[in-house]
Amino acid sequence: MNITLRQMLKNSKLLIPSLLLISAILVIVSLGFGYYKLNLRDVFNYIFGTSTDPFAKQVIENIRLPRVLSAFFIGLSLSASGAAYQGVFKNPLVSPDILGVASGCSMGAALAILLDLSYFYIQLFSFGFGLITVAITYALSINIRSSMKIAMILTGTMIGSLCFSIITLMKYFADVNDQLPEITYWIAGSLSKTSSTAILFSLPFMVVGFLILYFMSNRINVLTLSKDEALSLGINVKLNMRIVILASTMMCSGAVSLGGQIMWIGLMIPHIARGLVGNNYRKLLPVSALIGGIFLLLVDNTIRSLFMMELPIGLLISFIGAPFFYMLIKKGGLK
Amino acid sequence: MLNVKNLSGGYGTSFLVTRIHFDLKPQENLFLIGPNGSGKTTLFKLILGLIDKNEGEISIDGKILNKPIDSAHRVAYIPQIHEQPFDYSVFEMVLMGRSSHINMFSNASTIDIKITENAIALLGITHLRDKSFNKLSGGEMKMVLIARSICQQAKIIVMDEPYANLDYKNQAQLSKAIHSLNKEGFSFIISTHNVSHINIKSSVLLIKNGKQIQFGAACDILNNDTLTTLFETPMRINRINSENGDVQFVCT
Repeated sequence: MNITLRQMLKNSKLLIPSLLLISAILVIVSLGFGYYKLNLRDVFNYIFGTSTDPFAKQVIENIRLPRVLSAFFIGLSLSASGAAYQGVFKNPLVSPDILGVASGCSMGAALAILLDLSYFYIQLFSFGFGLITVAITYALSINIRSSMKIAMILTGTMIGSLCFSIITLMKYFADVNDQLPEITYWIAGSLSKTSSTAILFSLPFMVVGFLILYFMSNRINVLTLSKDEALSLGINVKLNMRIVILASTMMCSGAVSLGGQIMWIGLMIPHIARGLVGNNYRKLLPVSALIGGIFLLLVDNTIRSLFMMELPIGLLISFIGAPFFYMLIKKGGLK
Repeated sequence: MLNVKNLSGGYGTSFLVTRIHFDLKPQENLFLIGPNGSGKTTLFKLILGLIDKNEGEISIDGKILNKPIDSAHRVAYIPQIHEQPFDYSVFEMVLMGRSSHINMFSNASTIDIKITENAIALLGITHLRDKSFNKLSGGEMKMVLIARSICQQAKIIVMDEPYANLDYKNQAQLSKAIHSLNKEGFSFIISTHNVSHINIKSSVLLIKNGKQIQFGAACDILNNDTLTTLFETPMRINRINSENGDVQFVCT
């Protein structure tokens, strides 16, 4: 039963269209959730431009829409980039933070907060530092005379923990009343500050990154083979790996600079997607991306409707992610 | 077809091969024989362009190979079996053989898919088409990888110890597949410890400590003395007539 269902999903041409449809419906429905109650009619009135309630229009335009789209695209980006990183490092346990991307982004954000810069600069610093961190990881690891893949994972872990120490140091210097809580909140991962400018900043990087990965999916498949095999199949392994890492890092930095460190998604969702459609990246990438978007949006909706206060979404995801990870190890699904 | 002249190279100082000299004609097989650590794998990697050579020349049909991309369309590689970190279906594995023919940002065309299906059919593994690669037996995995090499449209297929870990039935099947692909115009370069897989019409290259000991026709080279010196162990080799009329080697 289990196997036939999996086979069905694997061969089904309807899976991706149905996930797309679910995503679209969910995005629309989600506009109604939150502290200020809006029903579906208000939402549809807004969409078709027949809205008579100016307050509803404002809520949707300035708060709900940016937040809902942010949740969806952050989930999408972290999941797709996680799947891609796992492929190039040939390891299903790799998460998007493996090269220190998320730590670098957090460090950039903390620095901008410490300098009392505006939200735009917090995001810009965050994004920039994410890219710089990966560039440093890459530059350091090519000097190591062992396998590229192990060298990068080790240097990434090193750089990541270094960034974390720097953040802790910054916290010492931060103003206790406003800067410190902001840094803490930012690192915990939160969607409360998403605005239309913020999402417009990140969206292009996420979309372009995803398109690059999607069109390269055949090459990512080959990159999961041993290096000698990939080379003998006529692939320029170094160049392909660089492009995949750059595209994934763009997506991941875009996501983290928008919503802070939301862990686990990039590990959890690709694994679920692999279980559904197998490892062929042509299918795995879009399925992983859409499930990730749907998942984060659902979690954010739950938070917004269940709690009166704003809880950092990253924390809630960790509560789900940690037990999930334990189940994965226990099941022995990982090698 | 394949011409290797005065080839030297390797990594570090310990895994070097020096002054290798041989040629391989279409539809013929070359067996590479030598003790463990003699440089067989290094020689393979040099031929495939996976590591840089220090000296010498590799050419196929008169065209000198310099880059791995050049080699990919002419020489395919079948490594010793290992489990993949990520599993693919047999069809997906074979299709990867088309990679060097598909543009970096493109999907497989209908022609690529047709070539893939043909390669699967040629190896007689159509029933495995949708099975997952990691769940196959060692013998079946070899067949899939040979199909992938054919997809790559390489006429020379390099196999690293293909008979290791195969039971007698699978060994026989592999030999049969190699023999029938010879007729289709493919050549194989195979490393092995077991002389019983060597067809009398094949050529043989003996290698030890990275140096070429001898190269020539199997019937001229394989005898008690050469094998005893090569493996530093007393060895006796006999020839027997196999059922299909071929002469086979048996080693004791």
